[in-house]
Amino acid sequence: MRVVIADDAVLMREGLARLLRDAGVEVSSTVSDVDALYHRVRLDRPDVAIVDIRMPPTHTQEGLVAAERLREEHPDLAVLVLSNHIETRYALELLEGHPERLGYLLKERVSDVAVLVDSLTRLSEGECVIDPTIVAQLLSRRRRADPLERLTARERDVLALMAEGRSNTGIADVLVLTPRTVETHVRNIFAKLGLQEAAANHRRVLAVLQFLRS
Amino acid sequence: LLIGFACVAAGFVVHVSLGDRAYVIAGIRSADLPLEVVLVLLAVAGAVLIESALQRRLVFAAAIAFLVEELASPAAPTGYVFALGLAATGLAWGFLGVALVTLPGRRRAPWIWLTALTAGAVTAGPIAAATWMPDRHGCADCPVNALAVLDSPRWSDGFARWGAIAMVVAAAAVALGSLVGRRSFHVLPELGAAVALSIGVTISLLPRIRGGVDTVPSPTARLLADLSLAVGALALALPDVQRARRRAAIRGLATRLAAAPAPGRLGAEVARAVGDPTLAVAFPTTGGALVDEEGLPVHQPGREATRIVREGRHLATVFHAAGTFANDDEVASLTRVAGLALEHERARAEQKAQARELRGSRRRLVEASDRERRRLEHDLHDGAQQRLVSLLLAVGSTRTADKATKTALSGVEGHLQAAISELRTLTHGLFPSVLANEGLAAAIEDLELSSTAIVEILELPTEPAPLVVESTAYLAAAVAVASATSSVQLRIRSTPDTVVVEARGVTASDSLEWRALRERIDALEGQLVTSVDEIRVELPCAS
Repeated sequence: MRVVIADDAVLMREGLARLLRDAGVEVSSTVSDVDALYHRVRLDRPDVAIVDIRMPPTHTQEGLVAAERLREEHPDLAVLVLSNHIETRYALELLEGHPERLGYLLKERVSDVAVLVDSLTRLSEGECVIDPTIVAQLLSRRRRADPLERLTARERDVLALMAEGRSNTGIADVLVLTPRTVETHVRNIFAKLGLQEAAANHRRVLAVLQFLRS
Repeated sequence: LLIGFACVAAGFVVHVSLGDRAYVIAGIRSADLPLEVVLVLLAVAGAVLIESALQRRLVFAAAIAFLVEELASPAAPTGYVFALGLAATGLAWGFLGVALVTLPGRRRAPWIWLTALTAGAVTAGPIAAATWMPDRHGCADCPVNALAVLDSPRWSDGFARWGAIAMVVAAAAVALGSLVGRRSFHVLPELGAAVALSIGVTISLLPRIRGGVDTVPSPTARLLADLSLAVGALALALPDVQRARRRAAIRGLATRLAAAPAPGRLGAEVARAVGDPTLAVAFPTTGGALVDEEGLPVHQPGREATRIVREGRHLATVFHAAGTFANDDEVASLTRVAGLALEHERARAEQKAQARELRGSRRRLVEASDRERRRLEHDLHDGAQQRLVSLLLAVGSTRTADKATKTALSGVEGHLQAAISELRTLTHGLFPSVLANEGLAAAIEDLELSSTAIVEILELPTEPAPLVVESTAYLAAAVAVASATSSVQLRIRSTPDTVVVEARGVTASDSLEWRALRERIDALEGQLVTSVDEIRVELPCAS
């Protein structure tokens, strides 16, 4: 798997690159601004671009704009957006429409190399990755006539992990359940939330997100 | 007294002149005499209205002399009356001319014209009359000229002619001097008087220049001369009439001010009183600035300004059109009448200016604190937080086979994660970066997404507002959401002038957060209206 890293902070950029190289991921180049990012992506043809959300010149949401443009120009490219802030709105904006091959993680999450590599792998396979903190925040929101209240505690756990973009097998590993039990939970969730079960994994995330957003 | 005297003189003239006349000195027809009397009385009225004593007397004398000319008629009861009429011929123009030349406020008295006028009038009038006896030269009905010292038509014609020439030239020179000597529009009345003098003297005396002492103007010319005299006298009186009206208005102002000095209306009252709608009153503050009635700074570059000073203290500066005040006396009378009110108004204006300044400085303090919080947020985010994340990466990429080290590293990792998370909460509490980057609407959406209460957003602002207003509106919404019991409905409206935050399902308390919010709203001159289960915050955008 080939990766390009864009972050204006050199410590972060190089630290991340070393971490990934140690884990056997090919880091083809590291850049400090979006123009260099566009250039390197065209040249290196990476599987995943890791993009800091705040970059020069304004340090506001250059990374978001870059992510959207990269996805338009390179439909096969997966983009992982990194942020220091819990910017739920950005995450939702990014994922609205086409959440496949798109991830949004808080920066401190990447220190666990196993989680990072797992996320990169799932992204390049067409899934969607959302930081658990953001999922937790969305789930903790209360709303009028909350359909989530009809879910059991276990089903909520499964939904949260689904929202993070995990496959049934992944969920089974985390919750120490058999995949068959997880499948049952997922079916129940879809039934209770009135959603059609879709084939692709990212459809599940999309469904969950759209539901959370409603 | 003057009018009475003029009326008696007029009556006398009419009585004398209505007799059967074959010989006419002044030139008027009997039928036109009442009209002449009316015109001369108009000139007398003008004289009465003139303020300067010398001018008043001279113009009055001119009017009387003009009437007295008519006494040189065959109907005159005695030779002395007849002689008086003869001697008065042309004197009226001399008086009027001298009145004009000696007007107060003329920069330099043109003594040469003064001399020419006086000498001409004396020569053409009394001296010419003293050398001629009309009863011997064609007017058999005329009484004997009691003034005559000798009888020589040649001498009297010469005196009459050269005296008249001197007066016509001098009058023309005075008129010309008024025309070119002063550029200001405000001497128009003076110019009018000078032109009237010039026309009148020419009409009256031209026949004598041509034909000698007993040649009179035609009846129409005599009436025109009457008219010139009246116009000249009234024109001289006009500036004084205007001044008198202004003084009366200022007295009226005194009455109105005494009745009800409405605060903030003084400038308009003064403008009305002196008849200058462009007039503006500005008050000096102790800081040396000029402010209006509301305490706002006044800039009137290039306008005529008059300082109102009372007892050595600068009370106000009045900006006005050129010529609103004719002289210092008028300013002094305004000061007398309105001084006290101006002093009150000045104190009020200064108070308002100070309050305005205070409000401005409170707002600037809030802005400064916001700026400082933003800077801190930025520094913490770009500095400490980045470093912690890098450290976390370094720890994460450290490989070790030693189990104890591994456990220790994992502990360090946990602490670092916690530190980063705490720092994030701290920086967000300092100043939500989304507010500065994307505005109030986005920040409120974030608030809704991160809140644990049920937040319903009914309306979001569409107009951008100054950052300090947006941050205060955000704080109001955040405090409202944080103190909501179960669910809160937010409605945030913005216009170019105000931002309004309404929250339903919220009851304001006296907690620290609410107190801080109240202070901020106060500093921005906003309003917080609370009722059971509802709050409303209104923030003006302008400082």
